[in-house]
Amino acid sequence: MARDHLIRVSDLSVTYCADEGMPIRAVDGISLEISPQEIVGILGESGCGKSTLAGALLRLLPPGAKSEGGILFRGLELMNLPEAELRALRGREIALIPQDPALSLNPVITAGVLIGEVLRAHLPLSAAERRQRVKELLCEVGFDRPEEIYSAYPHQLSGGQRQRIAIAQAMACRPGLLVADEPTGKLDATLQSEIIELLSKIRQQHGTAILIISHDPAILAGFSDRIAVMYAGRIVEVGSSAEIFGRPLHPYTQALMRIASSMITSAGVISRFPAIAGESPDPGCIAEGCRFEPRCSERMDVCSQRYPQTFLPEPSRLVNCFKYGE
Amino acid sequence: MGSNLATNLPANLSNSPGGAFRGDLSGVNLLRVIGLSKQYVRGGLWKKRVQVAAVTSAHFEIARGQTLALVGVSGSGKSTVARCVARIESPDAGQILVQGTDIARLSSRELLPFRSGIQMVFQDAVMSMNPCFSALEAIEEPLRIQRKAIGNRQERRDRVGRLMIEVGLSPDWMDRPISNFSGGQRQRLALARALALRPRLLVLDEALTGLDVSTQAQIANLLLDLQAAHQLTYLLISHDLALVARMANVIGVMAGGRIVETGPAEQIVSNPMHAATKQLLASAKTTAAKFAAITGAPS
Amino acid sequence: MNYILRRLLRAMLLLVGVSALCFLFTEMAPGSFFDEMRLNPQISPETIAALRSSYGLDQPLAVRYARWVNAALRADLGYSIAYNAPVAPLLWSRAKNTLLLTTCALAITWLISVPLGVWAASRRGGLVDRAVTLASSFVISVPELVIAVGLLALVVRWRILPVGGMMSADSDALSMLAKLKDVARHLALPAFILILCETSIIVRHVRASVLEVLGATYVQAARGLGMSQSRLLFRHVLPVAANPAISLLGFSLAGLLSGSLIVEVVCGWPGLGPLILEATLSRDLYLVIGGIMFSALFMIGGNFVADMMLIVVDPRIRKEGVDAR
Repeated sequence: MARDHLIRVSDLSVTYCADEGMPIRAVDGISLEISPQEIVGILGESGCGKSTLAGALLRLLPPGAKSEGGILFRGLELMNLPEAELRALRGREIALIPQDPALSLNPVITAGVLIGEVLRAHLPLSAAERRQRVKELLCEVGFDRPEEIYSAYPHQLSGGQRQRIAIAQAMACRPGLLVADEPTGKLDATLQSEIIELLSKIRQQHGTAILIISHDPAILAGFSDRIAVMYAGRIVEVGSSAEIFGRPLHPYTQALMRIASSMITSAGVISRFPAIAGESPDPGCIAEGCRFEPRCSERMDVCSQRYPQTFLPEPSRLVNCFKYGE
Repeated sequence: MGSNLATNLPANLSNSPGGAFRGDLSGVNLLRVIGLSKQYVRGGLWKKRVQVAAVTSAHFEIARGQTLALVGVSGSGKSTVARCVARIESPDAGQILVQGTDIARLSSRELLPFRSGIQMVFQDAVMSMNPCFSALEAIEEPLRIQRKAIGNRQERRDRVGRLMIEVGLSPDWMDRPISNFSGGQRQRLALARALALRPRLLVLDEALTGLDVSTQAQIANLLLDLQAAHQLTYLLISHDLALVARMANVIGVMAGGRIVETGPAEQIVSNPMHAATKQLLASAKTTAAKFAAITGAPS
Repeated sequence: MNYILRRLLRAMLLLVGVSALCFLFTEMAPGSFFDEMRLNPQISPETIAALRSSYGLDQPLAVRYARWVNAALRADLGYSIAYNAPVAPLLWSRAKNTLLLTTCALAITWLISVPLGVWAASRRGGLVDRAVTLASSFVISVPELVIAVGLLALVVRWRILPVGGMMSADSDALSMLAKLKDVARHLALPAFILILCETSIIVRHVRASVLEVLGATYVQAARGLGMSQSRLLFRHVLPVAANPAISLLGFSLAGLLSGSLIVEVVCGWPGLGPLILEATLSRDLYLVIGGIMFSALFMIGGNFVADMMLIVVDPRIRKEGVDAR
């Protein structure tokens, strides 16, 4: 360990054992470090295992999922921590911002109490102190009139407001790491940038490290410090945000960036978007070679024979592609 | 709430006064919507009725083979317009002229022949299809309803197979249940189903929303290809102005149930007039700027 | 407030509907109380006709119904031909017993079902869960009547409890406390049968609704924020799961009532059940209608209570109530 990492994931695999059929390896040997105050983006499409990764970091996977590998958080190995200690950690040290704010807030509990519940679970505060803290948190996530929001039920709030409540919940105990699983996936384009701005502000003010998961490079642009690109359960490329956006190395990343840029520049009507042909492989039946090989425009013979090992074309960059070595 | 957005602004500031764009759309308009209004009544037998205006006096027209996009934040009424045009709902006022025939007030029996000409694709392809259906059954459903599922078993399978090829799915998957298809594939299935009746107008209600970026590109390309191949006309509903600006000929911006600005896509993007348009554009531009900054100048 | 008023109005309409249907069906049913008398050569047709008109049975249906409604509004439910007495007090003396039986059964059913259902759901697939599921499906699959008769036979054979009636013959001589104990011992068997049958249904519903909420995204999200299992269950899951359970309360009352009619007949509990059965068999018109109206009143009352509880528990409904103002 050269630097002090906040969390260090090493060779993490998660396997879902379905009753029928083959076990599915949703996350396959992932290693990743996050430093304190760092924002790391996980870029990948649905089904690539990114949400499973988020669950695994919190040690919160559905029954039937088996995880192997190591997750070292502040010197604590989460993989062999008993459930009680994990519970004390969740929300206190590592907090999750879920994907769909319409589903992630309990419909019969008011927003204020929902946030207060997190405080109650971790901090010895009196009811009055808790109430006060909740109001501060509500201001912090951008509500002008916290009293009104405090007693509002989730169904009385808009999508953007709900996501702010979820962020306030996650930030309640000032965790060291926020895990945000597609925090803007279900929001309008306008609201997306607001939420991203809020998360930026939180990092600035509290030095919270953030692991943000998204399928959309545009969300991560200008927000995350480092980006890990995931494809079919594996990380295929890691680099600083500038490197990944400016000079993507893996053909998948390159294609993804072309697509994303074609969708955000308002350069007039086009007759075709750049695209990647085909679909990502079914996680149930993964072939021997590079998982992107069937869709890759630069495939070589070796690509279908074995999985490319990790190459380090530059000191800070990792890429799994035979283009960068043999 | 949003209606003051429209009233605050002098009408002549809008790209096209009155909201209806009458540009150089050559040929006959396939769809022409005049003064479409829809209110929802909340409450019922015992509760006090409250009328909520979802759409107020919307005008627009689409020429054959063109795409008109309605953009706006959620709750701006764009989906209600879509549902009225597809006549899933009945408008309270106004006309919906499909090649000159007003379908706004037709009964469901009278509508049947028009239904095959207008098909709708929803955001959530899973919710709009029975998950127990096989791909074959799902695609054939509209044909059955229109009593056009004729021919023997093999002819029907061939027809569905051709539709599946057309949307980029393998006909070998015809008998798979819908639940076995991925998100992008389901959207393709939904398109195949919509195409089964050879419609002239497709109403795409957030059909690209919620998909992965790479899938979004694939489906968008598919839509563009199908449009070119069949001279299809699209009414595209979306909250994503940036994406829509690259696909639509004409953009209508909705806010508070009104179409507050209409114009050619380039003009809306380069010279927005209404506050709502500027707001939508601002967030798109911020993202684009961030993206350009980081891709253009690596440190 | 408006919500409550609306519910009350709906309840009134329901009562009117039930009574109208009752009149219609009893009219359509073949035969009448006087059919047997007609067979008796000693009674002249004139006498029967006079009797009919004295009970108002010679009037057209609409007139009879109007008269009945008019009287019912003043708590007069007509006159029983067989008992030769006003229906209302007759019914009330029996309804008290049915009410005692069903409310006891209802309370105990819910006291058992809720904790058991929650326990089973929170340890899904565990021993308790499997036992509850298995036992309840067994009880559900056996008809209530068979269970009632079977248990009755067991009790009689082993002489565990007194059977028939609601107190012993010599109960007048007993002290107040001993009297209560006596009634409780008589109550035990019919109540047990009802509780057994009803619990097996309710516990499954409670389990299912708790399971559904436990799987909800917001519960997963709360877990991700470090809520303890018990806090999660009692503060986050139960209030949501309570909604379908409370709606079920109204239905469970219906189940209990119809069940109690059978159980009362089998166990000889002097409730509405045997009375309505007798009245139906002898075509004692107003007694039948009165009995059904009493049952309907119970059910509507139960549903009303459930509705009120929903307002307390679920803010979404409360909101609707506010909107309607």
